[in-house]
Formats: sequence, C-alpha cells, structure tokens
Amino acid sequence: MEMISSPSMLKPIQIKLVLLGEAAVGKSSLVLRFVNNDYQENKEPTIGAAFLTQKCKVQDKIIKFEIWDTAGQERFHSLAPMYYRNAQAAIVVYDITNSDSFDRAKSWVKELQRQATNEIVVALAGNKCDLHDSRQVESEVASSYSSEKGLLFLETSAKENENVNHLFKEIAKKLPLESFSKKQVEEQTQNSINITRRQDSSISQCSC
Amino acid sequence: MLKPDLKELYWKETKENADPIIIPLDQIWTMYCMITDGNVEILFKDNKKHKLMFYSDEDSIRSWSGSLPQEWLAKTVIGEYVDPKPKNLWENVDPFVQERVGIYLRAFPKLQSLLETWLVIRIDILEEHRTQFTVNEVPEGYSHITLNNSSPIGLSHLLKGIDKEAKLIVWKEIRKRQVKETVKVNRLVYETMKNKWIEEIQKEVPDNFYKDTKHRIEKDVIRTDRHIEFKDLALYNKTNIPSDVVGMTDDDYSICLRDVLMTFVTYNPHHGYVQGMSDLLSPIVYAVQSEVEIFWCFCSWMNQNNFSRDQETMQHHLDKVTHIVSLVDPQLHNHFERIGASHYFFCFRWLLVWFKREFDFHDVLYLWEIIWSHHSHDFVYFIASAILVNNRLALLLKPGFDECLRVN
Repeated sequence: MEMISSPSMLKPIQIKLVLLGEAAVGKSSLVLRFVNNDYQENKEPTIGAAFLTQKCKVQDKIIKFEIWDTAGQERFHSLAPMYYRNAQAAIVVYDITNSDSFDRAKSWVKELQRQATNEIVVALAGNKCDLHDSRQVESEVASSYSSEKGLLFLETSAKENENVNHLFKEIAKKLPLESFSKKQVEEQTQNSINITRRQDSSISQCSC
Repeated sequence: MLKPDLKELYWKETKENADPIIIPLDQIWTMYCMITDGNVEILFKDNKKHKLMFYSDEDSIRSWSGSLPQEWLAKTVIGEYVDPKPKNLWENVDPFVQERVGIYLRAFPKLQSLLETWLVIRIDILEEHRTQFTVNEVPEGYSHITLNNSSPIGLSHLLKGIDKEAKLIVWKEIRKRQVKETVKVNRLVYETMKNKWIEEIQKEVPDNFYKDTKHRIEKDVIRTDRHIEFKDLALYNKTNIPSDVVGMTDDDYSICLRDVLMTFVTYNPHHGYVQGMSDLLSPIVYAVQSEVEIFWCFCSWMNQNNFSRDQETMQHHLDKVTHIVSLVDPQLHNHFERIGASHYFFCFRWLLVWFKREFDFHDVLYLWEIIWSHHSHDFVYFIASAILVNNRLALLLKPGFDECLRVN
C-alpha cells in the first residue's frame, strides 16, 4: 500500500479550507494554533482575509491545507463567497460563551449548504471551551444540530490547544482524498501538456 | 511648512548649450526638459501656450516641501483632466521626488511620459527603502504574506513627513474641511452623544443596538495596536464624563478608543461599528490628544465612507487602482483579467484601512500625513498600483485567482 511511486505520496494533496463565523470567536486563533502551535491573547481583528498553509499526514497521505481565514463581521459578508468558492472544506466557528455567535454559525452552515460546492466537508467548532464558567451554548445542543445537518462537530480551545489538530485531522479523514489526488495529478499533467504536448494524461495513477 | 513656496518661473527660451527633451504628455500638455549643470529644468506647456516651470537647483529643492504633483497626474491618468489650473500644479512638490525626477530624466531622457517617470520613482522609492516588499513564494507554515516594513529606515525617513509643530495642524486640519462649528459646540455635541450611550448602557434593559455595539467595540479595541506605546493618556484633554461606570476600566487607551467609537456610532447610527474603524482611529488618538478633537477628526476621516453597507466606495477605490494599472502595466492587468482577478480584490485591505496593516504604525502616520497633504486622495491609489507593478513578476507567475488573492 505504501507505494513510494504513488503520485499521492510524492505530491501533497491540496485542500482549500475556509473559516467562517462571527467576529471575535477565535477563527484566527484556531488557525494560528494549528499552523504555528501558538496562541496570542488579543489577536488583532482580521480584515479581508488571511491566508495560511499547513501540511499534515493523514493515513498514508500528505495533505496540504490551504487555509482562508476570513473577517467575521456581518458588513464583510458579501466577500465570503469569494473565499468559500471552490473550497473543499469549511470550519464554521462559534464561541461557546456567546449564543449569538452560535446563531450566526447556523446561518453560515445554511449558506454553505446552499451555495458552496456539493461535496464540501463542513465542520462546526465550538471554540473557547476552556471558559466553562461562562458557557452559553450547551454542547449537546450543538452536537445534535450537527448530526442533523451532517456536520463534523468538536468543541475546541485554541488557547489551551484542545482538539485543534484533531479537528483538522477529522476533516481530512472525511474528505474524498483519493478523488482529489487523482484530479490534481491530472491537472498537473495537463499543465505540462501545454508545453510538451504530451498526450498521456494518466501517467502512473497507481490505484491501490 | 504647509504652505510651500510656489515656484513658478518661465522657461528661459534662450538657454545655451542644451536642447530640451520634448515629451508629449497628453493632448493638452507637453513637457520640456532641459538639463544644465547638473540641474533639471522642466517646463509644461499646454496648447493655449500656458507655461509652467520648475527648476530643481539645490536651493529650491530645499525650500520646496510637501508632496507630489499627483493630483494632476492622477487626473491625467484617469482621464479626468478637464480644466487644469497651471498656477497650482506645483504647489506641493516633494523635494525628494524632484530630485528623483532629475536623476531619472538624466538617465532616461526618452521616457514616454512623466507618469512613467513618476511611477518609476514611486516604485524605486518603495524598493530602496523596504526590505520585505515582495510577494515571495508562499512559504510553509504561517505564510500569510504581509508587506511588513521591518527595516528601521521606514517610510518616515524617506517621505520626510511633517515636522512636529505642523503635525498637529494637519491632523486637526482634516476635520476642519468638514466641521465648521465652534469648539464650544463641538464639545457640547460630543458630550451629549457620549452621555446618551452611557445612559443607554446603564439602563436595566439596555437597547440591543448599544449593547451589541459596545460588545463588538470592546472586543476589538483591546486587540488594536497593543504593541504601540502611547503617550500618557492621563495628560490628554479628556471630557469630564467618566465612562468607567460601564466597565473596562483597566486601560486608558482602550477606554479612549471605546468611548470615541461608541460616541461615533451614537452620533452616526446609520454607520454602525465596522471592524477596521479601530485601526483608523488609533493613529488619531496617538496624534491628537484631546478627546473631543479626536472624535471630530475621526468623524471627518469617516466621511470617506469606506465602510458603507453597499461597499460602493470600496468598489470605487478598486476601480481607480484597476484603471491606473491597466494604463501603466497592461500586461499585468490582462493577466489579472485572464485569471478572473480583474476586481483587484487583493487591494481591499490596503484601501479599506489605508495601509494600516501593511506598514509599521509610525510609518502609517507619515503616510497618512502625506496623503492628506495632497489636494486629492488619489495618491493612495498610486501607492497601491506601485506595489502591484513593483511585484509584477511574482504576480505574473501566479497561475490563478486564489494565488493572487494571497498577495493581500
């Protein structure tokens, strides 16, 4: 199975992932934790969007997450489609100490399920789960909502590094990686066709 | 300092030992350029025989201050060049740029247009004085590309900025354009508005609008420019209305931001609070140091309307940059079109908060001063265009829309 010659081993599979959710729920902090294993108190509000990447290994494959971390405020809502367009995965984040942010998360889920690509994997993340004392959103409520909508669900804490890597790994597991890697190999090959005019576009797709 | 000498001399037709370089600028204006003894003389003539000249000898370079002739250039570029008023053209010519015009004209006597010269200058300035002004291949890990200025020699040193005394005048000047009322009335309006939201918040069941807005603002002000050392706010000219009754008493600076933003939203409920506003307010707090003045400066600043709900203003900004790039670098523009990025969205943040996130805090102060010292705000579009053109090779290599967006 672990075939070195397999293109999926040589080239990481690129996954476009977008983070959505109300302002100040911790989207950028989740990304910072995942990408740099770092946490900053009072991280500045994101304007427009930030782009980051991180590789991780899931089963026998290397995945490169290309992460779009978007600004949360309603006023910038109209820009979001540009970022979730063509995304294979989305993390909708809310703050467990703020029930409004959960409502907002639900409307993001609705929008994604209506507008984004059909195969998009959506995860719901209840962030700031270290702040038990101020909890406003019960995890049972979020969990049953998630299973009803077919979402991955985890409570996370970017601050305490709880469930952050796990969240991304779970997303990766749920993605139809095999088909992505095939597609990307084809695309890469197609790119080279322009120059070399090679006809065989299915070089060495070793299906195990 | 703010009123630079207007150097308007007539071309000496009989200058010896030199033939002028003649550069047609547009249908109306022609530029004549002559180099004598290491100095550059430039004359503009329009088709009605109006003449305008500047002369870049050492002394006049010293005595000229301010900024670029960019309003005129901007108008030329964006095709709005209607009724030039030659007398004002060179009112604010940046000495540094003048010097550069000289160098470039000497080096490239056959430049197609002054615009080209100008853009080359802009790009060159940015290039020389910036260390990380490139769109490199996205590195692994935390690879959000920012246009950080990590060099100790920042824009401040090169754009010269404004001296201390003049600084306060400029910052206050920005509001005088809009607000004519007397100081007394200003104070009264501010205090009334401030009292209004404080009372609302103290109600047993506060109005949702005020409650939500306060919540949002407080989340953001504690995340704004935390790394900057502000002057002792105790020395600020504050109002007598204490706002500590409504919480957040630990930090004078955040309270000042919060109070001004809350009062702004109370005064302009249709604007509401939008993320990015705290970024625009914080330099004003730094520079102006009087609560009431800060508020009115901010109100004027907000008249640019970047945060409007329909984002019409932002669209307008992006259109301007599009237009400039399409003229000065059609190849780059075509590339953006081909990959579906012709909306130039990657400039969004630059223009929303005027490069606040791209440059070092103190450089931003200088940059804004430079921008404000112009007759028009179009300079900001040229900076954005220059950044793009400056990074053209890297951008041209980006195969897709997403990759170009990352430039942001």
